[in-house]
This record gives sequence, structure tokens and C-alpha cells, in this order.
Amino acid sequence: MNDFKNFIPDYRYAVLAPQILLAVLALAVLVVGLFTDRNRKSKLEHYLPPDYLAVCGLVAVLAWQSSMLWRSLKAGEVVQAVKLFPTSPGDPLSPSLMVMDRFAMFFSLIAIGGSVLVGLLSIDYFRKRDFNRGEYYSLLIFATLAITLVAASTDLITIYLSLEFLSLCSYVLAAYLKGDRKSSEAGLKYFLFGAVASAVMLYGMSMLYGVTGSTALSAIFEGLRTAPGDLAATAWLAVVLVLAGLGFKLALVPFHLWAPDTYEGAPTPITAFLSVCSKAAGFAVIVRVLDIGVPLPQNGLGGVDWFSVVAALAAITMTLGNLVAISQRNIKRMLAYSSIAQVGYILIGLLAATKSSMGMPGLMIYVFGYLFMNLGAFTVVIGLSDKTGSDEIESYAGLMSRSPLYAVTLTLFLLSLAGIPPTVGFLGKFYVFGSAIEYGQKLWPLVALALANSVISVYYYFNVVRQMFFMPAASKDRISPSSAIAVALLVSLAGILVFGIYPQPLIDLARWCSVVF
Amino acid sequence: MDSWILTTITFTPLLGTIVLMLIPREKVSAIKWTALLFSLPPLALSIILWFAYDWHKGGMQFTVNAPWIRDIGVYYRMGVDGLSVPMIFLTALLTTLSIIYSWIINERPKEYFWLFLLLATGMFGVFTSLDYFLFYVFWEVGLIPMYFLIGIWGGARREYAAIKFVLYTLVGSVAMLLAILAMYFNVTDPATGRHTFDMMVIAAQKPFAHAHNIQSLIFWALFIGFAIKVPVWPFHTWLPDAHVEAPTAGSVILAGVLLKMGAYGFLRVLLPTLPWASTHYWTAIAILALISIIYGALVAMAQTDLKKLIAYSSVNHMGYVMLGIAAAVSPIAAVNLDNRAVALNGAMLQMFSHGIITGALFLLVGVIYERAHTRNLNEFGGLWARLPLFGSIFITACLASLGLPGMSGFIAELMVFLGTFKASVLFAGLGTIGIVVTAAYLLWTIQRILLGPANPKYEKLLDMDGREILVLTPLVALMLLFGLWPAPILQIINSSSVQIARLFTIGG
Repeated sequence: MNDFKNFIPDYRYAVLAPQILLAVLALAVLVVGLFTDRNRKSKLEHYLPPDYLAVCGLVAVLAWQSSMLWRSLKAGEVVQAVKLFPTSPGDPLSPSLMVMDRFAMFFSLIAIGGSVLVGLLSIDYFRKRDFNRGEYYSLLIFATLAITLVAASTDLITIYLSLEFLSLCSYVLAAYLKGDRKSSEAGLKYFLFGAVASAVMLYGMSMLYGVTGSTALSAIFEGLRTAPGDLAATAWLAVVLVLAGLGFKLALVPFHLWAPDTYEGAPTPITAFLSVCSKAAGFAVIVRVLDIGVPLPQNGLGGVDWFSVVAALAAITMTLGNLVAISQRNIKRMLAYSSIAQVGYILIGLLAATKSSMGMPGLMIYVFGYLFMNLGAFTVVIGLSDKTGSDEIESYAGLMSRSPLYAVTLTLFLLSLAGIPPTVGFLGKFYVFGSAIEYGQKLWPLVALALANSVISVYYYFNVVRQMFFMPAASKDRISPSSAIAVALLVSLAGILVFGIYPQPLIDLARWCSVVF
Repeated sequence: MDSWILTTITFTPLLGTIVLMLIPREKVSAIKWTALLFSLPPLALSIILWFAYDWHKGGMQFTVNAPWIRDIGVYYRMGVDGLSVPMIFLTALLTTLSIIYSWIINERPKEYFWLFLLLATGMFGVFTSLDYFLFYVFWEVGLIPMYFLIGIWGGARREYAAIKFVLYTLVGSVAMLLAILAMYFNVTDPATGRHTFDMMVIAAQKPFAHAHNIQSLIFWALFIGFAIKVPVWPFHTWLPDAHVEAPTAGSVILAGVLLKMGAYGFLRVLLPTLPWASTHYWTAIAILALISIIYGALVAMAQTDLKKLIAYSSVNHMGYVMLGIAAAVSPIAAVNLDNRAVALNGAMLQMFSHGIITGALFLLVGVIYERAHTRNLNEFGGLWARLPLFGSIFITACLASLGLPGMSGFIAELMVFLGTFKASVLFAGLGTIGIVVTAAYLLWTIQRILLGPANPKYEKLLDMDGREILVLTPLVALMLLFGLWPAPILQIINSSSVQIARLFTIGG
């Protein structure tokens, strides 16, 4: 028992409440699903359907998590982070396996908020298809839990474990439509690429341990600062290998090859989840690793120059993502490539954050806004394919005459993705690009490239708009959204417009949370 | 009234879009009346603004200043001076007239008028905002509705024209955004000690005053942003497509107001903020202006499509605006304050005058196209006898466009040339080639449409109806009014011209 006590000396359960609640919720949904999925007419199904249970539970956790952040924002709390599982208990300065700081909470907020919307989108999707909802929702909640853990991890071990936790849930979710060949292909491809990527990342992590003698990010930081010169190449390779593993999660070019096929084949709500929540996890961890763990060489001290590597990755990611998106005919694939390109823009914020105070808030505002605009776009895609049975962009012809609500909202989501004001997408781009301008002329060419890319992106986003508004409709049947879809649609719409027109609260929150431990 | 007038002008049409959403799409008449109703208050207020603006005092008036995004110092800043007051009136007038002209639109009217009102808010916002963030937001808000107007209600190649318009304009916008951000981080507001988006403060602080390389870079980024909109050769290729394919009222707004936003950018942003680069590159501006003038006129002469002809004549006419701007910033010492102010007055008057003249011409193209279903110049002939009223107004507008004395276009071009002559006799001389060619193609157009043997195909055409007369009368009246008595407009714009001109005059 003594050991146990030593293991958790300043354990504050309250700070882990959302994680604990998520775990309990996932298990509860799984159990309920056991009874209801067998017999859809059961009493339990009537009073406690697993999908509603999951969505309501997620909303509750979301409320809890937001109130935690809100209270800390209002109180201007002095305690900025809670160290969990310190490596040498008793020493307040010792590194820990996890840190529950505001940065982690911000990304948890995005993950849980995203899951609420994905959960809403899944209700009709899985009721129509005869799949077990209990398992599906519990996997979704476990994946969300994994993201909140990823965001708090400050040690290579916990980073690896929580990323694997997230990946394993995601593999199954991508292949969830048993019997559907495309879904199976999606899961398998995701799994094969993911397994290779995590092996590569683990290799890089072991090299980092070899160079610095520690797995804690803060210790690695010091280790790299003082590492002897002949280890510089090894350290560089180690960081690049870790970046490759994270690049897989973020679908950075050239580690993006799984993304279009997986996005196209996976159940569409899961595509939405992968493109938003899973990417949020990727951003949380890449920020944590590079910001806390890997120093840039300066003032004669050692370090690893990840700056140029990330800049090059950002440049090719946004350019290739955009260029390939132009020729896509399937909207899920188009959104897949567009989300690849978006990651390229967001990375600029990470680069600029090394000098500009707008960089980190910019990155966080962008990811936060991206949640609403991308999930909003997927909401329309799901709602429509439910009625028309097609994900081809051509099937959107004349949508304005069939469903003005879908046509207008999708247009707004696409405008936001393209960064046209007054939407939150513009605000994100403004902050990220602004921070890069503030950083200095070294980043100006990258900003110019990013802006050129945003113009290219308008071409393919507007191609969908063109179909919806300029083309004649194939049929005159009106299409209207189900209530769950309508709720998700309005929440996303409010998100892009409210935070686009009145962004100060979001900016305050992002600034408050942009301190990384 | 001081603080709310600009906000009311800008956001009344937006309020109209919300009201329109509540009207069922079948109630076409209610939709049209609602749109008209919400376009009238800005028109009335813009006339009040014209008279209420104190041009003796000059400077920014009716200013509003409210915090918007504290984190980066974005304010809801609005204000008008002698440059923007006529532009706001022009916008309000052309919007109202376009809505009246568009009474014949019965295809998807709800969306059409909704977009028109949104467009109006964007345009008013551009001319009233004094904060770069706000300015950029309105700049983009004005762009998107035009895409739909061209794409849905346009001609045969409308999709191509619509996306080409958007992509060209967006290239300009993002270049402008880059420049705005660079200026923002280079400038500190002395009042607050923080970076600022205040257009006036940035202009007063002169960003990159000593870093000439960066100033040049910023200059060209802004130049591209505004030159695409004007459009200056070689950035003009979107214009003929957009104009030809756009519905009549869309062309009117496009030529009447959206092009002016480019020239407005030069006068509001480029000249006051980056005076060194403006002067340094004045020959480049002048040469591009001259190419626009001559090339625009020559290509217009070669057209057989009446609408395309007028589109190219816009390239030609906006060239005079650019020539006036170039002359006003020339480094030649002999050009004194008065010469520079005259050149700028010419440029600004030309902006206004081109707005009403070309607006009228596009409306007239619409009138004849509705009847004859063709715009091919060679198929007409002898129409004046058949349509006397149409013929008279068409001739009036054409003569105003070619700069006949007594019309507003003449005064504007005369002033541009007076200013240019001092800066460079060669440039002024080359510019007059454009005048000659313009006179040639417009007279030839009159001849081909109105004179000569009548085409029997068009014997049954009816002359203009009441709605069309209602729309064209104010425009023709203004052409004559400002042609015979330009003082009311010149005294207003002169208050701004002198301010800008002073920046470029040694010892001014």
C-alpha cells in the first residue's frame, strides 16, 4: 500500500474527472448496447437507447470540462497545471508522465465537443444500418478519452501509449461497416500505415532516449541542449522519425497516403472524427513534443533544428493537398485532401509560435474553428448521402432548389474553410498568418505560399457551390434534415458565425490556454 | 446623427437580407418591394451626408470608433471624407436603380435581391471603414454575392466568368492581406503603444519609411490587390468575361462601384501610406495607365458585342483615373500643389462620372437586349427612328462617355490631362490618343445602332417603358449637372485631393 501512496502523491482527482467520466460512460454504453442491440424492441431501448445515452453523456462531460476551463479563466488561477505521476515523487520539480494544464484541457474540449457532434451525426447513420451501436459508441468515447490523454502526455511513454490507444480505437471504427469492402479497405489501410508509423516513431523515441537518457520531455529538452556534438546527427534523425510518426496522425505529406482512401471508405461520421478530433490530438502532441521537448539550436547551445523540417512539411502538405483536391469528384475525398491542406496552414502557427505571441493562440483558434467548419461540412455530407445515397459532388447539383438549408449552410462552411470573412476560418487564418508575419521575413515566403494556396482552395470549394447553385437539380424532391442532423448543423453554423463575428471570448480562451508545460 | 449615419447606411441593406429571409419565395412582389424599401434609406442618408459633410473643414467626419477585437486592436472604425462621400452616394444610387431595373427578374427573385442587398452592405462598408480589418471584411463580403449574381443570372459562359472573377479578385485580396499584416506589425499607435489597424494612424506613421526594399514589396502587393479591381492592364482579363456574362444590374454595379473600389484603394491606402514607393514607381503606374487607356480603346473599337465594347471602354476610362493618380505623385518638382490636386480631382471626378455614365450605358444595353435579344452591333441599324427616346438617351450617354464638353466626363478628363501635362508632356500626349480612339468607337457605335438603314427585323420594337425611364433619368441628369456645374462635387473631393497632394509636394 505504501508503494501506491508514493505513486500518487499530489494526485488531484478532480482534474481527471472528465477522463474518468469518459471511461465510465464508455463502459456503460457498452453494457447497455449488449441488451439493446440484440433486441431493438426491448424496454431498455425505449428508455435508454445507447446512442442517446452516449451523446447525452458526452454533452455532460463537455459541460464539466468547459466549466473547469471557465472557472480557471474567471478565477485567473495561479495553479496552472497539475502534474500527474511524477517520476520522483516528493520533488516538486521532477518531470511527470502527464500534466493536466490548460493547454491539455483546451484540446480535450475540442475532442469532446467534436465527439458530441460526431455522436449526433452517427445516430441516424447507425440506426439505418443494422450495426451494434453499443460497441460503436463505446469505441468512439474511448477514442475521445485517448485524445484527452494524448493532449496531457509529457513523456514519451505516455505519448506513445495514448497515441496507440487512439489508433487502435480508430482502426476498428474505420472498418466498422463489416461487409462493406470500402470500409474494410479503409480500416486495413489505416492499420497498416499506422503500424509502420508507430514503429518508426518508437524507433525515433528509443534514439531520443539513447541520446538524452530520459523519456520525459523536459529532461529530453535539457539533454538535447547539452548533448555532445557528435550526437547531433542522431538527435536530428530521432526527431525526424518521431515527426514522421506524428505526421501520420496529422496526415502530413508524405505520410498522408492512407488518408484519402480511409476517409472515403470509413463510415462518414468516423471520417469526420478522424479529420477533426484525431487531428486535434496530433496537434496537441506535436506542439508538446516540439515546444517542450526539442530545443532549437541558439546562442551556441545545442538542439535540433526542427524548424526547417516542419516548414518544408507545411509547404508541401498544403500545396499537394490543395492541388490534388482540385481533381476530386467524391466530396469525402475532396474534404480529405482539403483537410490535409488545412493542416499545412495550421503548422505555420507552430513555427511562428517560437517567436510570435500570436502563434500558439492562432494555432488553437484555427483548430477550434476547424472543428465547427469541417464537422459542419461533414454534417451536410452525411445528411445528404442519407437521402440521395451518393457522395459524388455531381449529386449536389441544384441542391439550392431541393434544400436551401443544406445548400446555404454548406456554402458557409466551405467559405469558412476557404478563409473568407466574417467566419471563424478567416479569424484562424488571420491569426496564423499574422503570427508568421510578426515572426519575421524568414516566414514571409511560407505565408505567401499559404495565401496562394487559399486562393487555389477556393476553386475546388466553389466547385461544390457551383453545383449547388448554378446547376439544375436532377429531381424536384425536397430534402430536409432529421432532427439530430439539424441540431449538429445549427451548432456548427453558430460556431463559425458567432466566433467569426464576435471572436474575443475565443481569443481570450486560446490565449489563456496557450501556455504549454 | 453624427455617429450612427454611416452604420445605418452600411447595415440597413443587411437588415433587409434578414427580412427577405422571412418572406416566402413565392411572394415575388413582396420580395421586390422589400428590397427596394431597404435600399432607399441609404440613398436618402447618402444625400444628407453629401450636404452635411463640412468640406471647408475637410478630413474625416461622422466618425465611429468602438472596440471590436481587443486582442489585436481591431476597432469598428468608420468615417468619411471628400473621397468617400461621392462614392457612397454613387453606391446608394446605383444600388437603388439596379433594384428598380431588376423588377423584370423573375428567376429565383428571393436569392437575387438577397444577394443584391448583401452586396450593397459590402460596398458601403468598404467606403466607410477606417480600420484595415473591417475594410478587408467588407472587401470580401462584396466579392461573394457578385460570384452568385454572375453565376446564376448570367449569360452562356457564366460559370467560367464567375469563378474567374472570384479567383482574380481573391489573388488581389490575399496580396492585400499580406501587406496589411506587414504594415500592422511595423506600426505602433502612439496613443496606446500597441500595433494598430487604424488606417489613419498607419498612414500618419508611414510604415517602412526607411526600409525601401520592404516598402516596395508592400507597395506591389497592395498595387496588385487594387490594380486587379480597377482593373489596370495587364490584370484586366477577368473584366470582359465578368461584364459580358453578368446580368444587366450586375454589370452596372460591377462597373459603377466595384471597379471604383480599386481606385479608392489607391487613393485611400496606397498614396497616403506609402508615399515614397508611390512616387518612386510613378512611371510604372503612368505607363500601365497609358497602356490601359490606349489598349482599352483599341480593343473596344474591335468589338462587335455592345456589352463587351462598353466593358473594354471601362478599362480605357479607368486608365484616366490611374493616369491622374500617377501625375499627382510624380517626383517632378515643377508640379506644384495645385497641379497635383487638379490631377487628383480629375481622377476622383472620373471615378464618379464613369460610375454614372457606364452604369447608364450598361442599363441601355440591357434595355436593347431585352427587346432585340442580341447585342451584335452589326445586326442593328436605324433604331433611332424606331426608338427615339432610347436613341436620345443612348447618344447622350455615349457623348458623355467620350468626353463631350458640357458633360461630367469632359471635366474629369480635362482635369486629369491638366495635371498630367505638368508632370510629363509625353504622357499627356499619349493619353490623348485614347480620347481620339474613344470618340471614334463611340461615334461608330452610335452610327451602327441608331443611324443608317433600319433593320426590318426590329420594326416592332417598343420604346423604353416607364421603369426604364425612371432608372435612366437620374443618371442622365447627373451627367449634365456635373458637366455644367461641377462645383458641388468638386468642392467636396477637393478637400481630400489637397490633403493627398500635400504629401507629394515639397514644402507643401
